[in-house]
Amino acid sequence: MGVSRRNFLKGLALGGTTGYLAMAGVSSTVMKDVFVPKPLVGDTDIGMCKSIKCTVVSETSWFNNARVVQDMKDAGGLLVNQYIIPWTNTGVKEGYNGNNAGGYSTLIDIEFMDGTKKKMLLDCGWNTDWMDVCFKREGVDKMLDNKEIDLLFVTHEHFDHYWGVESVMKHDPGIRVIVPKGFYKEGFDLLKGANFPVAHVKNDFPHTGKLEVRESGKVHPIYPGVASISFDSAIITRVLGEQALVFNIKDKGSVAVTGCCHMGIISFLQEIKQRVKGGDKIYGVQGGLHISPFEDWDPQYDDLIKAIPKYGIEVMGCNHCTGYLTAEKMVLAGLPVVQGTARFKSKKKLYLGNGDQIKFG
Amino acid sequence: MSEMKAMSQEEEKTEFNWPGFIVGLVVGSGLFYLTIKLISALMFSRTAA
Amino acid sequence: MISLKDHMWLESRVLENRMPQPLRGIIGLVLSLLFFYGLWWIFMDPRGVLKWYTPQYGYMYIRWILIVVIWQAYVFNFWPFSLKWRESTHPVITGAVLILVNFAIVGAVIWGFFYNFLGHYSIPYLSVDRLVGKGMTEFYAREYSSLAILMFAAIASWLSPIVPVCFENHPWQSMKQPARGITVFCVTALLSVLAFFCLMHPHYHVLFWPWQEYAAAFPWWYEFAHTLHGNFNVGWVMCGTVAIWMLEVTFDRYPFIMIKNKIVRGVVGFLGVLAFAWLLFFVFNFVQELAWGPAVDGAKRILAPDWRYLHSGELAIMMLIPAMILNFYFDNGPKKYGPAINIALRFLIIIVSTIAFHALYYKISPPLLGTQAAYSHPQQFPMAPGILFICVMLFHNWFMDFWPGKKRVGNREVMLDEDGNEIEEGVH
Repeated sequence: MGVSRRNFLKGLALGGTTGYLAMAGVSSTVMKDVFVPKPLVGDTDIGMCKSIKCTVVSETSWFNNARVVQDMKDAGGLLVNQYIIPWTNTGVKEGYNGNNAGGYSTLIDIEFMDGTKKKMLLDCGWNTDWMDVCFKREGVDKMLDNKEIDLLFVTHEHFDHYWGVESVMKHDPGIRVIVPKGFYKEGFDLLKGANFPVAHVKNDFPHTGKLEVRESGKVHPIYPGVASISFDSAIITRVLGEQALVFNIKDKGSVAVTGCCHMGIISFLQEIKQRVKGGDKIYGVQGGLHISPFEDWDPQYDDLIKAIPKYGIEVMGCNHCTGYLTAEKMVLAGLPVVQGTARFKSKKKLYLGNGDQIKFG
Repeated sequence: MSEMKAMSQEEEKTEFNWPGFIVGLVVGSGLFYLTIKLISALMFSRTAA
Repeated sequence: MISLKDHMWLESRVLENRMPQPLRGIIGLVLSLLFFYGLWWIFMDPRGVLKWYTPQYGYMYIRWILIVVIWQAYVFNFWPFSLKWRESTHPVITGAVLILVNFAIVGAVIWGFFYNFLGHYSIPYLSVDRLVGKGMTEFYAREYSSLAILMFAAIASWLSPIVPVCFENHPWQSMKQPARGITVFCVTALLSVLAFFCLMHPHYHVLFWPWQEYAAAFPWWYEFAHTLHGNFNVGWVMCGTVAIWMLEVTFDRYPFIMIKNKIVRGVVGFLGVLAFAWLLFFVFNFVQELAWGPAVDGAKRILAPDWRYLHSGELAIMMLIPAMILNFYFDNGPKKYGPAINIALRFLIIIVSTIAFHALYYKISPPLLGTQAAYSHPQQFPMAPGILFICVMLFHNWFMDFWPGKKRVGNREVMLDEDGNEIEEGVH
């Protein structure tokens, strides 16, 4: 190779490396906006409804935090499949008849613009003995017998949101069921009738109604003014996928109703803004927000408390896995957290508890 | 780490080549642009978790 | 004056391939992967024996293994073991002994120094039982203390190599061991501790409730980083670790090696490494925005600003691994051109390999390593297996001379003058 050609190639190599790094620096800083995708503006019209009333059938998923954490740790940690964890179901002082398991379930009454009404059940809890008592307390058992509840919307496959399904199926096995994409085989088997003795979960009443599986990346309509959005989040104890509800309340704005919101309430609100027409007006939030469920903390949660006021939420009906510490800090930050009555084994009045109701609209 | 010996005798005769360097700057910048186009094509997702 | 061996024994090695490439490289890589996997299964995997990957607890041990390896080979030049022992003993034995010594030092530092000394008499968040004693759940007590302890090591593993790599141990280059090791250790320990207190300690201001307003500064990076979380600093410090090592394994210390004065070279090199670290940090944040859109203030998981910063560090480790594999197992790519072209081609290979490695990692990590699926779950933490694998490669290189693929045929018997330049050459 001639010296001049070698020199040229050497210069080329030096310039190439320098140019690559320089372009990297420039495009990742001053030119960033040219390349980064712009956020979407919500264009899916989900219609409108007049109002919703949420009744907290049960928000106490379990009664002793340390016990449930220890159960997971003893089984091998947070990555172990929930269906093979021997959950403690006896000898827990704060439990329901010694059983640490409770469950999460919300009854939603929807009033449409033409005055008609529908009911749906968001999640069906965990311990069927406890769920039977809660369903009886709120009249859900009779509503299911009379087929007044149109739909069981399962937010995600977690033990405390789904394993009480027998308490629903024994009253109305033909109920329409919607689950998020990500359910594992065990989850589908449980719906069809199965027994997992290690984890103390079973369903002896096979589902006979319609089952829908909803994927992420779009808005799924349910009724006028009611839709769901799914997320692909991986969650502890081998669970994948979560979905949540969005309601468009006339003259008020969007209401986000969640089970656990593992994807994060801000991510959910962003999805509503970017997919639902008119979704940038957020009126209310209800449900678990999964921030400090074990009363642990992380500066990321402080980031949330500092950022969430700018979403203009007027009513915060958070509970369950939101965590009392989060609620305490939200109240201090001036956020409109709705207080509860601390009845039926809910511990504090800091937020909505078992038997409490909240209306939007 | 184990090879620190730098220039050979031939290399000591070489000079800094400006045309090569400038062409290299353009090529290098272009390669980074291609890199980000490739990454966007492979990785872009509004539902990734 | 000092011999090259007494200065940096590793640099004096003459290693030859005992089998042709790429066979040597493939066999070496496979052996490293197998040893890595054995360690992962025994110590880390959530389905394995000790299940330390939670992830911070296991990651703490991994980060300390890395800095202790650097101390053993680079800072202390294998002291207290004699170089004669290192040269005359079979690589399998030197490997086993030095790895066991590494593990013993790691255990002593974490359990003796941090948990039971500093955590009890200085800062409670360094001790699991002190945090549990204040009513914290044991799981979180262990995670919080692990993050703090590992960050000492992470910062040290960015700062410590700068002395041998950028400064070539100046101004202590002529000191014998253990004096030089102790000096370099003390200087870098001091800088690491100062860096920890400025970069990581403020995280602990906001971690506890009520906020520890008197004991730690408020996270001063909040306004421009849009997060209170210390992950902002974790991310760029990781990039710093990668920057210094890529300077060593990929760039052959160019362009700083062209500066003759070692102190000037060291200072310019340190600033250059910092600039390269920040470039990597910005670019990896940018790449995430290309893929997933901008971060959203207050969000969690994949939209969280603090997770994006952490992930930039993770992406940097995913670049360092191919860079090290190329250097250690495949003779650092093409050699037949001059340094400029060789390095440019090497860099190109590394970029392509990084993209491929990223895709491969997320496909295989849940079934193979027992991590959570997808990108952003707190228990999907590629830095833990990534850095453990890096440690195994360093064991293979620095403790075992790449046995059996390579053989050390001798050491260059060279003396260094006062400026650290080689005076004469000959192979013993």
